[in-house]
Amino acid sequence: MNAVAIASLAAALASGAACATSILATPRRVVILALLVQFAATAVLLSAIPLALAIAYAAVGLSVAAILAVTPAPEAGLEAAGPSGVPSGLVFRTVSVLLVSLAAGALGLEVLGGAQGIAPGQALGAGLLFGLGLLHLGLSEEPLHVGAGLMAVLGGFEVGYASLEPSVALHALLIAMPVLIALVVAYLSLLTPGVPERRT
Amino acid sequence: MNSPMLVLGATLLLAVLVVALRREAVAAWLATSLGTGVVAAVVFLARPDSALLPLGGTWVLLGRSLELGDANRAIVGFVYLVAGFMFLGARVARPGRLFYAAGLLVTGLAAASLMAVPFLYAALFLEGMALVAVLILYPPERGAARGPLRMVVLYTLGMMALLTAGWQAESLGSGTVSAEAARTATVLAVVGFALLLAAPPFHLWFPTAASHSHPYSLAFVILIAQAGAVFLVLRFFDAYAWLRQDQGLFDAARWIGVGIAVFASVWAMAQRSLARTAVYAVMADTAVVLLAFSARTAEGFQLVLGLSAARVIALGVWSMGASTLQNAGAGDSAEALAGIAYRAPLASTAIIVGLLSIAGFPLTAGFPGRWAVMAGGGPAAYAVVGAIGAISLAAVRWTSTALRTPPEGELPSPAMPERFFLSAGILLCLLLGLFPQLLYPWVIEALSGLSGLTGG
Repeated sequence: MNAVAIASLAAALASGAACATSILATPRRVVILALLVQFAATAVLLSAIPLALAIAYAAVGLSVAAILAVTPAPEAGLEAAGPSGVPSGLVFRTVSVLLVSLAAGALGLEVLGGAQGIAPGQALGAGLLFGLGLLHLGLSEEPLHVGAGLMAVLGGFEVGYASLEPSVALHALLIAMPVLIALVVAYLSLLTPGVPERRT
Repeated sequence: MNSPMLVLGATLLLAVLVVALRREAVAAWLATSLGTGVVAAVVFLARPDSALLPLGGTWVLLGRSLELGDANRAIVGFVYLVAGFMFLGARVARPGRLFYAAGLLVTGLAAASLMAVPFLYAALFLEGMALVAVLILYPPERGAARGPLRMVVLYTLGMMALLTAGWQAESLGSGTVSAEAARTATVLAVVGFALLLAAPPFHLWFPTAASHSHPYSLAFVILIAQAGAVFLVLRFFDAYAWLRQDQGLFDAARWIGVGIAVFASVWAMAQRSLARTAVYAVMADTAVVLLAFSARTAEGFQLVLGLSAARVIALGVWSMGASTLQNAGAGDSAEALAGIAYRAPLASTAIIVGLLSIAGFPLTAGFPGRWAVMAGGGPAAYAVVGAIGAISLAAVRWTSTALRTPPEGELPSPAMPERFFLSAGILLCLLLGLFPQLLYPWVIEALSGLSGLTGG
């Protein structure tokens, strides 16, 4: 196994671990930090697009984390985040994360593993991000968590799609999308009751 | 300078201007309504061979382009006219302080989605539109809501399905992909369109938004978003002959349409919330659009646009009536609206006429299109008759609620502009029901640029 394959495998595992952390964690700063790691690891996986775009993706991650970090929002809002009727205990979420990680990783390797120009690490990373992102969307309705789930799903999609579609313009638009999502999440966080008033 | 740049640049400038005018409500309203009308005029007048506005129709951006030509001019103009129509009524409906600026951005992004070449890029613009629509559906003055990102989630998944379907369809076009890939592309495209058209079970953002959002904002987002989605479907089928030739796909569309019509009709009748009744009525309307589409004829495709235009009038009138009541503090539930017809007769009439028109009741704007679908016979006709009957029954139930014994207390009497807009809307709904030739021939022209569908 060469160095590039090892790096992409490590990045896939890091992105999956970061995504899992953002599902399991409730403190805002942990979720935001996990997002930052997830973006950095996904940028490593995006070797099929021009290097400048991959670097831009990491910069997008930094911007997303900065936007979310400076947004005033109550910690309490993250606790009761699940949709009604969906269990949200830590044990349930941990078991779900483990099961979905196994299934999504295997599915990613099965579907994308044989595709031309995709390393096993990229296929694994795409599967993990997409699967865990969908799980995150299903487990939460709180804007920060939904935003994190959306960004994971988009990241997983982008890792797989990068090897199929050569258009730089399309990838530029796709990797800019998380910034818009972060802005909308920040806006919605400001509407949450308990947000401290801004000083004028 | 070219026409897409002028149209989108003017829309963006208008949005900036409206933000600057946020403390001047009348000026913001005038700038938005007139500005949107002017942009619509530019869409129709700017041509390379025009003496008045000789502008090229292609704007190249990062190697891809936005194009405004005969294939999409009418539909882009249609989106701006719909937006202008809704902005005009917003002065009376008062949907929230972000409505004008965010509404302009939503309109611009919907227009960009219609101009995107290759057209699969449209999915990205529609995703951006869904993100901005959050500002309209969940304005600061209405506080936090549950599930505000559902629309964004569903549009994101739809975008990804369509981008993948498009990539496979492009490969199929060059003959390098197997029949299995064609099936995959078709399934992905169907799922993508179902997500964008909010077909069940992907309608989850409808009831959430109906419960929380201002009725006028809800109507605006539904009208613009679904116009963009419907035209994307038509462009997709126009572009790929192998897709148009798949009769099984159209048969499936017919049965899906029947299923949606049944689902939406039952749910609309079961609602105790006026806004939720309206969104399920809109879903039934989408089912009728799908049934018209499934006819696989040029007339059927034209009807798709005709029905979309009739929906603008119907939903516009309903939302104007509902907004008037909500602004007066009347509420949305059956209990809150009991006897409301005695206290606010004009707004109540607008709600009932709007709802009947969305249902497609005879003599309203929604009926002529349904009559044409019914003329095709078969299961589609039964489904249309059933949907008209069920949604009309829901409207009759709301009429009965509104006519219950009047409760204590008074609502403020509507001001002159409100009375004018409500009366004009009701009259327009009935006028277009009696004289559909005023609307349909003009709207179906919008399809003339799609030669694959019209056979031109």
